[in-house]
Amino acid sequence: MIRRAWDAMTRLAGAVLVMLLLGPLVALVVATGPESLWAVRSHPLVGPALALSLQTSLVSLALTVVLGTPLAWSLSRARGRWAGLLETALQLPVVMPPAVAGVALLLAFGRRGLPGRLGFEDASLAFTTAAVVLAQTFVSAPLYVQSALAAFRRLEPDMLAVARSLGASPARVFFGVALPLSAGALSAGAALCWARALGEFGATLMFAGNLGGVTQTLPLAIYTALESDPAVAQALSVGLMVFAFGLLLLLRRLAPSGRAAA
Amino acid sequence: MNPRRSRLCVRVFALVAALLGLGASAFAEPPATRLTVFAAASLQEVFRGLEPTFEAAHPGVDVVFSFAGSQELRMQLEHGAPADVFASADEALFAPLQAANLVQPPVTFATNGLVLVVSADRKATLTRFEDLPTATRVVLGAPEVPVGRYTAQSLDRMGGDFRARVEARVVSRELNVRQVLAKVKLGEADAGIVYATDARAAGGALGVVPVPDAAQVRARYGVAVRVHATAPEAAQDWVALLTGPAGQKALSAAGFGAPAP
Amino acid sequence: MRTLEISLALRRGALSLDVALSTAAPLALIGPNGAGKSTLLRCVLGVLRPDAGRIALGGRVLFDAAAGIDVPTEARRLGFVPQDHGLFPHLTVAGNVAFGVPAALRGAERRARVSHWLERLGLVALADRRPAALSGGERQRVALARALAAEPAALLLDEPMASLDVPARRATRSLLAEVLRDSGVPALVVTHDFADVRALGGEVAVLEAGRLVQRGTPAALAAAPGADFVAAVVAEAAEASEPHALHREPEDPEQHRRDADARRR
Repeated sequence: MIRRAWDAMTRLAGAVLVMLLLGPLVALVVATGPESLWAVRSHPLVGPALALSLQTSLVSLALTVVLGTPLAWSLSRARGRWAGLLETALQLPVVMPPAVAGVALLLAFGRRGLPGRLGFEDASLAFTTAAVVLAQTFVSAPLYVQSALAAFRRLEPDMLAVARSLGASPARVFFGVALPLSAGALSAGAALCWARALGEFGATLMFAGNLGGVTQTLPLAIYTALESDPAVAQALSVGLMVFAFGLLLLLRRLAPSGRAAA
Repeated sequence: MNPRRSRLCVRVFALVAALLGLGASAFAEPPATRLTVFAAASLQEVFRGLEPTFEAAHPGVDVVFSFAGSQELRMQLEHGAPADVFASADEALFAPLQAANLVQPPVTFATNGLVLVVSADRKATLTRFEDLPTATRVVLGAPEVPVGRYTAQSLDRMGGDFRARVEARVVSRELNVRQVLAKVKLGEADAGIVYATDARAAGGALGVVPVPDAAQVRARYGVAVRVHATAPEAAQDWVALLTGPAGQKALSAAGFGAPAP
Repeated sequence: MRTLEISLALRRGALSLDVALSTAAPLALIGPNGAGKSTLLRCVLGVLRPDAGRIALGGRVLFDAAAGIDVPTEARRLGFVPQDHGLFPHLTVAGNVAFGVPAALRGAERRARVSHWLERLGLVALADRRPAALSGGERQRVALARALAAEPAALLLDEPMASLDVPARRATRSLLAEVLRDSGVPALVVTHDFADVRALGGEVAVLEAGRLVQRGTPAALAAAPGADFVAAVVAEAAEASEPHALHREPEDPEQHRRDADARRR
């Protein structure tokens, strides 16, 4: 009896959250309908925005994986107060309101930021495609670093010590043991990070601006369309969702099963 | 789904609904009358300034505001938002709302002109509207939003290839005036075109260059009462306040123009 | 014959380790929990850095605090078998054994080295299995084969039998003793079980609260226990002629239950 009540309760709790998460998405799809989805594909905002979103989010993902994996690895090895402090600080971009993140990026990499101070006034990154990549990386990389860190921490220290005792250089320990054993968790983190980058809006609008073909990603195009034609914006949102769903599904299939160190 | 499970679902839903109902009624208990005003973000300072005047003249009426972009407010109205009054920075938005029988015919209560704002770094060198193409980085409103539409008209009126020369310098098309202003304030953009009221609210750090009369385009601000307003009389009074001497004085002080230029 | 010489001091939390010992043969290390046995092993391995002292192996200095020498783990040529074996789950048994075979060895030579150790520890039939599909005793043998295939200059075994059930332990004990003797290198074998100590045949050193309190043959220790702990271990081991786990922390409840069952029998 208690068991049954427990089962019912857990299912109910799950159902409430599933409804909350999927309800709006379903409503969006239903309200849009297939015809307008089909019609919107040739809307002038769509093509360049989709291409730009794909390019920038993939570049940002590559940047995150190439730089974030070593970072997470060294943080997972590091001990002491400073490492803990750094790890916590690296989570801050996630809680920052996106527009604030955009202003922060401007202050750091804009005209009055680092390049400007160093005398390269026109080396400012603001309003360039690079700024889009930077904004996406800023908001999404912490998610990847966090999952990579968790994956590396799950590795048995004794197993890594064995690898070293067998003559493996630090690089071989990393590539031959740590990386293959964490691959599943790393690709899950990468998928999450990529999805966040693809949906990035606030920081991009502030730091990179909104110019078709240069900095106008799909979310910006959607917001722009919302100002003049909500129906187009709806159809675009559904398109973005379907597209992201497909890519995440594909990533799940390609990724090795999430097997951690046994 | 078996019958027992569906009965459980029904009960839970009833419970949740009851709780929500309780919460809602607790919130909906008005002191007397509540007047909900939806207004374009640019009206924020003026409307907040008029609130005490209105409430003093209407004891028992509590005015609450929701400030956002006019387009967002329009969408909220279309989805049943319980506003009493809608003040829009773009009169074109009223036509679809009227067609859907959501608002009564609007009244124009103010206009807003365009000005060129120039960053602190460039304000000494960029002093004439005609010099705009010499700026390195220009931000304008997106053509989809009212300020962008007016800006395009204004640039066209300058004649020749002026608009093309300016647009060659455009690095971003912002979705609202505040974004244009923020980027000029931060010095990331050299110049931008905003409403006169926004330039005034921004204070003295920026250079403000007037748009030549021949190229000036004025945004017309309209206000309308919602068809199913919960406080229709107070709503009408709010419209009257705006179009009356007290409202016009406050609007003019904030940099708005008179309704019939 | 090479000699492993250790003299080191390390303060770590509540533990204050101060040990000097040297051995040219397998040496059993016993002592209560928290005595510093595993810490000592990790200092020799080079994953923990002593505050002071010197570690040398066959005249080669691995660590010297005064001279500022600290040879990295991968260059120390030590075979390490941790308590839970530390097998690489993504590699087969053969892959695990081949991991430490020097890269200079290629092709047939390499294969010969791997199959020699698979044969020596009775793992040929399991060569293509993954560690997840092995029993505790099999895992332990793979860990041993992997350490030996790298031809280490010394061996460090941290409770190699601790995670085995009683029958597996009995079966492995003599094999381990034999393999260690044959390898001809110094070894430190941390254990809780006096039966392991006897099977190894060599000397035993007793560590208590970070200090070496006694050292000798198992028989000498039994005859004249130098500390309460030693007396207790010897007495308990004499009581049960059967191998017996002493002072073991019940890290695995399942294991604990099995042990308890075995004791009741």
